[in-house]
Amino acid sequence: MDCLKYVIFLVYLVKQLNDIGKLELIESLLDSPIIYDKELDFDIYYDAVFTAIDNIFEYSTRRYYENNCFELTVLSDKVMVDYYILAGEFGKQRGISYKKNPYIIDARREAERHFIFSYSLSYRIHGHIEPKRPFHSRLTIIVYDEGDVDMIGVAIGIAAMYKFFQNKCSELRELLSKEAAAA
Amino acid sequence: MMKVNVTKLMEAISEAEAYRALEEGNAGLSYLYDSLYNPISNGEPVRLHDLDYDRFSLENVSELEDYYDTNSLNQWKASNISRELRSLQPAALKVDFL
Repeated sequence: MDCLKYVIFLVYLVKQLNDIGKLELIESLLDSPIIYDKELDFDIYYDAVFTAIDNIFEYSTRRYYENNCFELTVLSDKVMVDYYILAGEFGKQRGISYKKNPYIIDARREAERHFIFSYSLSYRIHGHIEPKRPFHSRLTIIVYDEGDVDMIGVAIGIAAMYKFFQNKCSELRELLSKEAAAA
Repeated sequence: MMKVNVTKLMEAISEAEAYRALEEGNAGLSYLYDSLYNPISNGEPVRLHDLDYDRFSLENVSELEDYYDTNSLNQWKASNISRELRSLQPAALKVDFL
């Protein structure tokens, strides 16, 4: 792959971080030229990618399971926890079950859109409408050893999920407050 | 032996688009082309910190990627044609006056 293609992917990620108000996470990395002497600086590239993966969501753990040959990244954030609480309220008011709640289904579909670009990549999403502990709702990304997963694709997917929860929280808050005012 | 109809080849070359033009009136894509694509293509150093991320959308970045893919494909086709032409063996023609 040409250097320019890597740079285009990186600009996509940086733009996402700018849009969700998290550009400061990798801002200092972007001060140096990304291409030097016609060669991509892979140190900056992967530093930006993994900084984004580990820091977009407030709660993040990454662990490699040697026996099973996969790496597990578990993510959660206030915006994700709030989303499921608000989705639960939406469902409760309409008497919709968890499984049929459109917001629960939407979040799963959104994750599927971003984390199925490789056979070596998988995800799980666990949303709790009545969380029992902090960061109870979680998004888990599983990267298997045998394949070649482009990690910038994972970072882009995580940023997109954050934006999804952020936008939908505003939408749900507005909807629920309108309904509360009308009642 | 491969034969090339020079007239047809010249016609095909003159009809082909030299490059895929940037979509006119797309300010975000033009900004990315001028500040990123063009300098990098010319070997100039680019610092991503210098980009104004409010002047383009995510869709513009995807459009730039499409533009890059199309141009890379066209470049690959052109170099293939060029290689084929360079490998052609010259053939003597019968000349009546001799």
